[in-house]
Amino acid sequence: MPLTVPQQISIGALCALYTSNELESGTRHGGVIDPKLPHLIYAVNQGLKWLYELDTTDSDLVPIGNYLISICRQQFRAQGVLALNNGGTVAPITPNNPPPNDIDFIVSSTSLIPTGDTEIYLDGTGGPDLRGYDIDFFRGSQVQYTTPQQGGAAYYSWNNVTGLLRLLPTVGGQALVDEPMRISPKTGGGATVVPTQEYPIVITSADFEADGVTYLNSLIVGDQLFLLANNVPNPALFAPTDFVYVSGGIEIILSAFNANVFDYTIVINKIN
Amino acid sequence: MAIVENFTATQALGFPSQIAFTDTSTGSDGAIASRRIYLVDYSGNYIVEDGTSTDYEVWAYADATITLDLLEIDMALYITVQWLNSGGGVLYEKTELTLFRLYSITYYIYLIKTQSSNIKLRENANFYLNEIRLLCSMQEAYDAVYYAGDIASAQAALTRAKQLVDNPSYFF
Repeated sequence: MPLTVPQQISIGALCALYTSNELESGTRHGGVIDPKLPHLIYAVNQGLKWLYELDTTDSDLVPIGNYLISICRQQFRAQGVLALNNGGTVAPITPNNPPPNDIDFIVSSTSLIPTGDTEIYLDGTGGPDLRGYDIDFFRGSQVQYTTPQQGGAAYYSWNNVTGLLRLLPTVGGQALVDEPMRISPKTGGGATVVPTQEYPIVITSADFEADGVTYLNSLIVGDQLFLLANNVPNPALFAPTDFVYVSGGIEIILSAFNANVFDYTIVINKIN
Repeated sequence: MAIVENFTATQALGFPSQIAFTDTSTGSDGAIASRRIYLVDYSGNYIVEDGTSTDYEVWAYADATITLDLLEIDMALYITVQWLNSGGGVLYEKTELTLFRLYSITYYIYLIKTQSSNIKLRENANFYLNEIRLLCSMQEAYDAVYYAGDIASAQAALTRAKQLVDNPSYFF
């Protein structure tokens, strides 16, 4: 998609600055940048800016804009900065009301999250309504993460639109009797938090479930994967011949594969 | 009821001699019958259209806008708009120091366009130097008006720009 004139003007403004910086650095080190270039970029950019202010449809905007971009040495750096800082419209932030108080409880058969459960809807149905808030979640005074840590799994997921708090992994993450828990609502809610998985993931035998063949990670659900593993006949593993997708993760179906017996290191990559 | 008096004075590409005035006042006042526009340059001269015998231009109150052909060169001008009653008494008045530099800007854009189709001009030190001088002169005029309210310095800067624009074979 071609750059718009306002985008060209923004890029020109930053490129003049960056080129001046580069020139200063290059001069010290015997650089070869045309010393006029920052001023030239500024001059051309100013002409483009004036023309655009006077007539947004003037046919001269195209050749002048193209010329400006052609002399912008650091166009892509400028574009990157603009994309980060000003790539779109930022909706005004409505100040939040103070968040609700922390919710502390000891897991029991009658607690907010009963013994053995792995999820709860905090949507006001028979309990607190934390929809619209981000949260911090603690188990036994330990902060829990929504993204895998050090090759392990995520500890919980939180959907601040539906209010669904899910303890992870779904097998093994159940609330334990007498376990202290804290749900700490924060301001800054309002946006849907969708945890995403970064690839590749490196896992070891220790990351497998008790059956020695199942790896659970809700963040990989729905992704099309391929695996690279050691200690197997063919290191490249594909579904459905070498592994299959199961609820909450994957199961290796290679004969003789057993993470309880062998030490594996597996790199999980995403295809789609 | 009173008005909060206000106006704008703008130029359009291709028509550097013209200034379009728009009444942007808010509120209403049934006593207003007409308007006058005074334009005064840096040396106190009144600027009017050819054929106007008064020091001011009449701006009919029924017309929200009026375009006047006033400028032969770029100028910094004190513009005073008066809102008058039927007896000619001044009910409201507003004065703004405003810069009109479309002659210079038009020429500057022409230089940039020429440069865009002839990149070797960039290596022409004379062309480049004077292009920057023109840009600086226009910016100095702007700064003089909007940072310092200094009409004389603004006009001096515009005169420097005009010298470049009027002698292209020498400077460019």
